Amino acid sequence: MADVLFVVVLVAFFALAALLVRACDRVVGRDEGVHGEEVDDRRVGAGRAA
Amino acid sequence: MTTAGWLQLIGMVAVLAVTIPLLGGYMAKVYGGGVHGGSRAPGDRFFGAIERPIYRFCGIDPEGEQRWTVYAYSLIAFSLVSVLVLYAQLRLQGHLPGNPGHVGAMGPAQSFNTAVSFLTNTNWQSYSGETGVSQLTQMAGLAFHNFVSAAAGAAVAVALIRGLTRARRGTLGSFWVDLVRTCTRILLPLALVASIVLVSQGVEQNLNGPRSVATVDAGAQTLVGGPVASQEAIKEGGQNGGGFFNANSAHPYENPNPITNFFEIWLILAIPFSLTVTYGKLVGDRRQGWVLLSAMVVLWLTMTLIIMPVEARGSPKLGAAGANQQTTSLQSGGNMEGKETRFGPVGCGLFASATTGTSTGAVNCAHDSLTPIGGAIPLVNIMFGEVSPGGTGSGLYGMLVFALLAVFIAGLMVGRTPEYLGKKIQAGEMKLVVLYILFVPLVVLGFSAAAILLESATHSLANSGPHGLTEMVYAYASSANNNGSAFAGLNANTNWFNTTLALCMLVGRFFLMIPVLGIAGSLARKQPVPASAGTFPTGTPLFTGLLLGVVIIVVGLTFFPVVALGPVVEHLVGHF
Repeated sequence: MADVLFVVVLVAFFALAALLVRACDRVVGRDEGVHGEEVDDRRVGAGRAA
Repeated sequence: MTTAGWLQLIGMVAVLAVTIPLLGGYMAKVYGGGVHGGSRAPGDRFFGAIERPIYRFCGIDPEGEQRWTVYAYSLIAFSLVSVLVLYAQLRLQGHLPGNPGHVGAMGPAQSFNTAVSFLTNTNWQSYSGETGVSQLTQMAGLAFHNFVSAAAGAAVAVALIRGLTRARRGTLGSFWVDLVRTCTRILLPLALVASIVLVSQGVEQNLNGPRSVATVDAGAQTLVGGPVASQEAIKEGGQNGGGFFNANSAHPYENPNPITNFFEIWLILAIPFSLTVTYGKLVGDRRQGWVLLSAMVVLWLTMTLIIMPVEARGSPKLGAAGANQQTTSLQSGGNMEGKETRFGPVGCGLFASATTGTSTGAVNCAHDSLTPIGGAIPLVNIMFGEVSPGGTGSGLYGMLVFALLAVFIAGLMVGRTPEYLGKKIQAGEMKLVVLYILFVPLVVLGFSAAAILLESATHSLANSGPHGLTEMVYAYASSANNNGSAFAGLNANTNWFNTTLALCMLVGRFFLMIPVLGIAGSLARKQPVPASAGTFPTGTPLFTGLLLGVVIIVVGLTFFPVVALGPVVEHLVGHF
């Protein structure tokens, strides 16, 4: 039972970390409009690693 | 301080001065060359032959690039899978091979704490290394994390450098490639050479189990064998700190003589300091690297120059109790409580300053037995947020976050939009800088306060009063800053401490890395603006001073009250 609990805690923490990534992306994403710059996104997410 | 003490310190500074540019230059070629830099890196043919099968096996595209979010998700996915595997290994080690000591399964809470500890490069240990884990766990579980946790820190630092140097790009490189290259080209070669050096000096390296031997007074003693030198090399070189033995680097099998002590201190400091040179080369302005390096050196040397003489001077209470603390030809003198006679107070002070200025956390003496001011140095070093010089990668990105805060404050003072390396620092980046700075104090002070209010948690303390407060705060500060050294005097193998300290480690690692990657991603998208008359120069001694001021003020405002109530009060009332 304790094993399940700790595994759940770990999964929950990293799920929270993934949410923090999304939240941070929204925070820094807001600056894009201010800069008005185009971003070179070629190869973004390319490869199985990405 | 004795002449021997001065020679050790001067010798260390001299060796570092020679090796930092060499190692930093090499790492710049590793990270700047190859697929991301377009030029060849040293040893490409040799290392490429090792890396290509890894890429093929893991399905990694070595030419692939990732947005910062994908880079961060890769870090998260890798960490989650690897921590679950280590947790399972610790719980099942009693049924696995490579266990000559017949070590049983670790308990759930302690396994949780240990797995998280090694995942986060903290290496806090609530177990005894020689009796708590099997040799297979040491080699295939803990040592694996010693390499990859350090490499993950380096990868995040390199991603931040790319964010600063790239213009109008949406990508930061590949987490997987950075992870593999750091292991194969930096950490493994360094660990291999260091292992050989340590073995040559008498550090143990075998696969023997525990054996009983007869002592000279006709007693019996159990000697534990194992792959110690190979663990020791990456333990220090990757700023990990988890000892093969419970006594850590105070154990004669891990650190047998003053030569190994000196070498291990160099290993602890080499990569974090050298990464500033790497940074200067990669951003194309070596002065930027020198600024960060000089700020780190000032912090580290100041702390070292306090702790070494303080410990060499001794303890008034020991003197009043009749202990001879004079330096003679037969003893090193000073405060010898909790210290090894082969290192003395200066060898201990130098080690303590290095291991807490970095995120290593190995110890060669009992920090609990340091004088109050001596004990305050490791605590404050940790509270600096591991930037003096910090861990592999984490020290560099920590100092760069402070640098962004410094240019922001400078920008406020002159009324211009702050810039760093030509990149405008705007509201988005500053919000993430604030998140970075607030997460650690939140968990350190929050959990410390909760533990002090919890009667069952205070039963774990060996001392009351200001010393007890220091023991408690040190544990949470060490965990949240991913240092891992123990002040001692605290029984941390309870469900409360195993769980809450692990949560501190997770927050202190990943909730700091994610904002750093966010900053990197944001900066990479920006077009650098040319320097103008209003640009605050960041490659000057003035900026070093400003950077140091920001670090000291931020850390002072956050932690001064608790330091004042702990070691400062203890010193003033003379309870030592």
